[in-house]
Amino acid sequence: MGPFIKSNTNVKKMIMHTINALIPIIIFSFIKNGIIPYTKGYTNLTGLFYPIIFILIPTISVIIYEILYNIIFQKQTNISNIKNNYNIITGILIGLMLPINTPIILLVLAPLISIIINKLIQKIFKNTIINPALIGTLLVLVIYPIIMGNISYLNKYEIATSPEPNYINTTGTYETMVKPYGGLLNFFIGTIPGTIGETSVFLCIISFIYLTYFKVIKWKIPITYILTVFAITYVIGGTNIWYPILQILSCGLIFKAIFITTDPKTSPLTPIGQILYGLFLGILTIIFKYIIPLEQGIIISILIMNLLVKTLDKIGSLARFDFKKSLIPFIIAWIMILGLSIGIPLKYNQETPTINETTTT
Amino acid sequence: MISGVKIPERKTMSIKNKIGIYNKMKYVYIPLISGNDTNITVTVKKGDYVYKGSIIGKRKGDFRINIHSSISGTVIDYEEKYTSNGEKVKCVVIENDFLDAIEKEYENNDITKYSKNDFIKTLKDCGIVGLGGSGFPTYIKYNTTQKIHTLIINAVESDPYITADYVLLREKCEEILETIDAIREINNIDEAIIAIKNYDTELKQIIDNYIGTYLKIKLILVPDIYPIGWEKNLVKYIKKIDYSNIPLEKGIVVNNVSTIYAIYEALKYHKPLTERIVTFTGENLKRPQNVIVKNGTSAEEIIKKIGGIINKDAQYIAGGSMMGKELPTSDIVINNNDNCILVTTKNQNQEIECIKCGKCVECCPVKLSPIIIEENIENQETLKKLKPEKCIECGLCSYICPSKINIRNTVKKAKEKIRKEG
Ligand code: SF4
Ligand code: SF4
Repeated sequence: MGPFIKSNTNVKKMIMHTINALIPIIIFSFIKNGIIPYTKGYTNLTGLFYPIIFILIPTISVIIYEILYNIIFQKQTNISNIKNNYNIITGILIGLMLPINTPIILLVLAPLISIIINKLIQKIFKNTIINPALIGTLLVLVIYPIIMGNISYLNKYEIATSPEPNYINTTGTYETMVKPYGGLLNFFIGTIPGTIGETSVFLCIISFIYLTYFKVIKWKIPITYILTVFAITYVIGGTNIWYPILQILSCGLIFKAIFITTDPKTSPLTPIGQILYGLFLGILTIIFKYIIPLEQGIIISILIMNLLVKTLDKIGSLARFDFKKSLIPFIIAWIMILGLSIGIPLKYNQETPTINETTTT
Repeated sequence: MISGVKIPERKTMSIKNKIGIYNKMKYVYIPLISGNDTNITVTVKKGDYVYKGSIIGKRKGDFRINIHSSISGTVIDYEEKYTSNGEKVKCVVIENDFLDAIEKEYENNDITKYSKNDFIKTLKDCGIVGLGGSGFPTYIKYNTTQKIHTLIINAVESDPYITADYVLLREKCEEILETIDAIREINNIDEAIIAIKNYDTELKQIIDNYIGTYLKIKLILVPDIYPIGWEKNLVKYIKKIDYSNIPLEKGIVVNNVSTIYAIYEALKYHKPLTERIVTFTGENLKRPQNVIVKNGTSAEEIIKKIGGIINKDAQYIAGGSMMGKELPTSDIVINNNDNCILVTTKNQNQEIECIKCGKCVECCPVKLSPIIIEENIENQETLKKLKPEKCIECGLCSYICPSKINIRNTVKKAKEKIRKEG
């Protein structure tokens, strides 16, 4: 059966492109968390290579688990299939989304549990519904403070030079929110404390361009997501342009927007579905920042939206014939965006009047 | 905006060679099929002598049209033979007397001297059908009281490998332009547009050489994206309008180059449609080229004649690489529906699990969502809303899929399911 020619894209290539796009980010995290602390004399030789080892542990764990799964449950001894398995990126992503002080045992266990959960969901619902990298990361970030007290994001060098990053950075002035970390440019380049791989927005954007050029990711999602968050926080921040910029540059939002929300199996297939997905992700992110402040608000927003992918695709596939079919979700989204933009400043002005009364110097 | 994807061309292998002619066959097996319709009345019996062009069968119903003998000789038998639709079809076997005798010579020096009615009658008598693969009787397109304002000549051939229209236009440009202008005048059409692909500079030059005298024929270059040759896309690109079923709704008629040439022969010599140009091509042929083939000739014979195949493990495809059909054997008889016989080697493309990349959704020119159709194949209610019946079977979704899933098949299945269960 035809067609008798096939495009030269294949799953293996798409995975390789994604890995390529992550390599500069991995190198950056090596420089930031390994080389700089080492050259400044804050850590020893193991500390120098620790970031690389740190990322490799979940990466290799996932590959081993996947191979074992194939052998034990699928009775497949041909392990070359693994090259076509999108899950092998999961490990790298988990590694990049965690703070450097995460206990090693969690690095090994989190991928295991997330794969088990993922396979169970696949068995029951015949589909991957929830992003496995996110389950793994969330798991670590929930267990970590339980066994270790507080989460610390600082590497050895940053302990001496920088305060902990603020993951619910909703209120404050330029002096309290940006100044301690140097300036907005540092947020863009990535020389601020945070998880291992998420800090460099600049490199994330380069990766985004690369992945979009090679048609690997669903670019509509990150664009609408980021724009939605920007628009709402712009209104919330009054006239201070630094405020919305800070909001999209921090908390690993752009990294997750580019690499996590676009994960093929857990994001919508239809163009309109993708735009709605981005809009509602932005709305949820704002809700989990201002209304129900949660440190892992972004992750939770994405997980919730994962559950709605099927619905959005249904709307999206019908709306291809008739745009009116998607009018209701769009109207709901606009109303929510409007409500949040107006409601949140009102709420905050009553409680903490410091949200935006400052100027950049 | 028209949607589509840039896909490989693979045309160079057959484009350089001149058009070959094959008429050495001992027998022709004229399949009793017109379009997809096999309900044909036979008008000859065993032992009859037929001229080249004698009527041997008639299609019934709304699309009445005749089938003609492609050689002169004796009807010796009936036989079932495979045709390009992959099924066995009853054929009239005629033994060639190699005289190419025709019943009555005819030549018309000025092909514009037809009234509209005579024009339609001539096309009907000569059995002219669309040679793009549909087999739709051409006279029906013109047999209307509605004003036709535009005639579009589809010379795009967006399917890879196929070059039949290209070389025909290259070698018979003068005749084709003359015919276009005649059709335009006879039917009182305001303008005619020839559409070729924007990179066909050689063709553009040739047409430019002749087009000067025809003030009402325009050449338009269209972008090289698949499926631009699909009538709806072509009309949309050139005229910026949509139609729902046939372009005539908007006063437009679309014909392809081979059909125009067949009309030329009909107007000029009253020559019935008994042969057509077919592209024989593919990586597995020694000498790919275009051949004028008489209706009912065995494809196998021609392939041997032009040098044969390279690798024994050959795959035979009728039609192009996107829309075409794999043939059970190379022993098929060629009829008016066949514009291309593609010979490649079998290659196994292993299907893997769908990664939900959404590429099949984005590329579909009729805005279907193939993968969502697949997910809902059991769910009749939802399936209906997803309108699989709109699929034009262009194959882009299967082409583009990174998991190499033949997703078009699923859409086709869904289409049949909807047709059956309403
Ligand atoms: S669903 Fe049909 S029309 Fe759409 S891309 Fe696939 S084959 Fe072409
Ligand atoms: S193109 Fe293939 S892999 Fe991608 S969604 Fe469609 S069927 Fe799945």
